[in-house]
Amino acid sequence: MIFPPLRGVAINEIPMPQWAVWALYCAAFGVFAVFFLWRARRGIVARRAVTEALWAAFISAAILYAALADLGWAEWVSTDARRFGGMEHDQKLRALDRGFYDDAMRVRRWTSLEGRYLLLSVRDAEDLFIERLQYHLLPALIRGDALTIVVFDEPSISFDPGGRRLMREAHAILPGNVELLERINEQLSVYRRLDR
Amino acid sequence: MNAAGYLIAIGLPFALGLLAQAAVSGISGSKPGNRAERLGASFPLGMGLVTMQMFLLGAFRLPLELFFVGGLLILEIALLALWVRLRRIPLWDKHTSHICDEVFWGHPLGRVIVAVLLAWVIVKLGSIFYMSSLRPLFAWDAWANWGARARVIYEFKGLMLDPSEFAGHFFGRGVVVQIVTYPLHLPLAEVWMALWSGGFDETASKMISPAVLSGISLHMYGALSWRLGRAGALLCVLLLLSSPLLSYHGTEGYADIWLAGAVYFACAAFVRLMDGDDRAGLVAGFWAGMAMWAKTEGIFFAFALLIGAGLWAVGERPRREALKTLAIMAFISVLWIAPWHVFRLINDIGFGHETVRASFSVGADVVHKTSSELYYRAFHPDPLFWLGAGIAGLKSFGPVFVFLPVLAFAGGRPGRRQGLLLLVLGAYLACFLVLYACFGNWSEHPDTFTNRNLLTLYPASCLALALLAGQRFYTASRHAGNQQQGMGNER
Repeated sequence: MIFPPLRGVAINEIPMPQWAVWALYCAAFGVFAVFFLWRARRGIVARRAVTEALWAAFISAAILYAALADLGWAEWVSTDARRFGGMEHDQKLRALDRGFYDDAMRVRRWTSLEGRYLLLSVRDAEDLFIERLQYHLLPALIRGDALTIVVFDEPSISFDPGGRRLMREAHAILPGNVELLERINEQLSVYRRLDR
Repeated sequence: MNAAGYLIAIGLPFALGLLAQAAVSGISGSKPGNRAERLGASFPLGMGLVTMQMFLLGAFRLPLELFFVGGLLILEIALLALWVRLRRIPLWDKHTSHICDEVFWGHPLGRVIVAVLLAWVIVKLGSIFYMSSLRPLFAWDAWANWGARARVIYEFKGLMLDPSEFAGHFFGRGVVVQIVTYPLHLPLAEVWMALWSGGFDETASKMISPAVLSGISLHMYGALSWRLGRAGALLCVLLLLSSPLLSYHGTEGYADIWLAGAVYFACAAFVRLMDGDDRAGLVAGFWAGMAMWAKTEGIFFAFALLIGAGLWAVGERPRREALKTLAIMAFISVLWIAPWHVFRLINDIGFGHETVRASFSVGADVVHKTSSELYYRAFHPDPLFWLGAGIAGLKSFGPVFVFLPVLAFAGGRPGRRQGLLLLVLGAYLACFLVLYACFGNWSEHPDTFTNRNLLTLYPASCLALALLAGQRFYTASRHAGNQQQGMGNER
């Protein structure tokens, strides 16, 4: 699963070096300070001149920042428009998750029949793929008593077609027989318990 | 979701919010806000009313189906509209004047400036709507927490409260990630969109976010246009929308933008209260309650707002009336969030930041990993440095947080209401700092701390900056305007 790159700006960034932004702010303040202090000689007190310089620097900096940030924003929008424009909902999810979405949908055909499933995986519960798989399988929920078994990235588990059991090394990991419903790919398979 | 469905899904809460504002001002006798303020607050307010009703329906085990939820809402709108019509309550103040119009509007150059700023704001908001319509839910928090909960509530037509049916998944426990103590406002708002879509469309469900951002922008324009003129107000809105992070949150299904909106609307009502509209305390109280309904962190804001309002009440004459307003504000905010907390108490959902995950071990159904395993207490001041680095980095919010403290004191002390507003925002931020510096290990997420939490007070900070600008540059015309508007005096 690879999310499309957020081109243009990263979420928290504007496309400009920080030192340059600071330098511009300082320069703007300096220029405005000189201007307002020059005006101060003509009747405005110096304290007010500095205040006005600060406000002028802020407003000019804000406009500059808005322009820079929105240039980046425009690039982001145009990139997304090329990537997702005109797509249906399913197509967007496919574009977002690549092949993982199609795999999850194939699993979902089985899990939706029972509305619950047992997930076996070597991956951590906080793994992004585990979470994304669960999300795509909703509203089917993980339940210990489910008949449908999804094995995802669990290389130590193998299926013994003769004995119809799920094995880890020489031991059956579930009581009773199971049948293979579909092997989606090397990492992802769906089974069903035949008895308990 | 087609355009008609989207317009109905957005339009019904909008209508409810607009009529509710009119009804409140009709009952309380407060002065109605101007058109842009009223229109801007309508959708966020109406959506809050809708989600609270949905929550109450769900808590009483009624099915969350379009027939019940939509039917009830349409009935409410019809009754409110009839009542507002019979009582001849205006939807907004039709005589709002713009005291600073003459500053820019009359001059040819001023017209060009206003036209350019207006076009810029419209294009930006349009692009946020467009961008939101392109992507499905894609940010982790948006789908793993908020979206997952919305999906199961939509699919099961309820809050999953039946222990026999949802053993181990009571109230959505262990479904994807879902922190079950998160308030239900955003998931239920997404469910509302799904009800009108006829299915859980991940793109349509989050199209509420740009509507909220538009509401904040419109309200800000309305609240500031009579203080700063059209050009000044548009410049503030442009400044608000320039934040890439806020724009991004405007496209995605995050709760932070709802919290940011509630904080902003509460602060705007607080300013109105300090301007002399006593009834605005009720509105501020509602928005403080909405902040807590949007995100758990909203309690920090409610606490900060009550501190600010308390200080305002102590210095106000007659003090008795001010304290009564303060009591109403506190009561409304507590009343609004009370059903949620009572529900948590009754159902033993807990009050901590509990994380519960499913286990995949054979034989075990779910395993609970609670907050006590994840958090520890120790003072570690590094969040102060993250905050400083985040602000100095100018990344997400441009010059706003850099200049705000400087401009607050440039040219003298801030006015009383500006000072109190800054105090509220400062106290709100301080709550986060205490939390992060004294509890838990947050070093994995310094960006989240600095950016996402600053985001929630960013719109209100823009408002504070605008008020400071008004204090510095529009003193004379503002006094004239206050007299014209019948508002209270400004120090």
